Amino acid sequence: MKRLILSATDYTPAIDLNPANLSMHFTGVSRPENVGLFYQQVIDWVEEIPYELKELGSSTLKIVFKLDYCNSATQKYILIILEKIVEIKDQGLDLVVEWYYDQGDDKMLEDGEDISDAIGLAFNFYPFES
Amino acid sequence: MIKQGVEHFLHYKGPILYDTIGQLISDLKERMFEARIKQAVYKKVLMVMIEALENVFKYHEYFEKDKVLRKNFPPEITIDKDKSCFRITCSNPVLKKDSNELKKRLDYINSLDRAGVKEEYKNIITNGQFSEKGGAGLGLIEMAKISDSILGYKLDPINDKFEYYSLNLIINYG
Repeated sequence: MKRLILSATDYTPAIDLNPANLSMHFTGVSRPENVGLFYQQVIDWVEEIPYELKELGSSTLKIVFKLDYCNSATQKYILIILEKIVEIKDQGLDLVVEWYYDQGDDKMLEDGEDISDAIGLAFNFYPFES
Repeated sequence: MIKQGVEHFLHYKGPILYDTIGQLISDLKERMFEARIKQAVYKKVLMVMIEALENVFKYHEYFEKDKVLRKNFPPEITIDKDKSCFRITCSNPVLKKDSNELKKRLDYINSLDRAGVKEEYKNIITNGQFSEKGGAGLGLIEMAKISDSILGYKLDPINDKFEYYSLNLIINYG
């Protein structure tokens, strides 16, 4: 399982999917022109986890979202990715989701709360100062 | 005529391409910074603008090829600021055959209270399928979540194939 690192662009977030410490980081903005194509690489990475779970350095997957904004199609893909991960939970994977939001940004906080509510998975929310 | 106390905060009329949206995001950010608008309000206006414009962009090829439509009924977005709110209006041609479905969807969303809007969002994000245009079907409900008004709209006839759709909503500030 390889580490996947993507640099941020004006329209897409920086992504760091790291098997060494079993973490997924999404940072920046997200409104890809082809949202399906963009997030498929993340889904592909997630789908490899069950096959390599025993070899991975940790059994706790930490997912960190620190997004400035994301469009509604991205929100749907975040849900799809989390659904895939929740399926793996039954195979012995622990999961921690951290959702960072600018402390003045009620919208990003609400987006996290709504996605958390929709999937029935508790997120840890952390405000930060920009 | 511009009403007293109303400021044209942002205005664009013309084709909506993917990069056009990027440029308008930059313009809005700059204007918001200059006007010292609170982050919470800026983000709400920004997300409504993005959702509205991405929806126009998804369907742009239906009318971009039509010279008369392109000239006389181009997409347009206006963000006005008055003493207490931002008024966002986004207009574009839509296929007449789709307008009944659109009207039904808008009327349904407008019939929901705040809790109902949240429930509908949850329903669509969980069960909705992506359209062939890559839309998640969440755009209107996302705008309803953000808006401090109902989703006001107008559908005016253009010809036997198209109508001109205008969506307007309000975001309070201060």
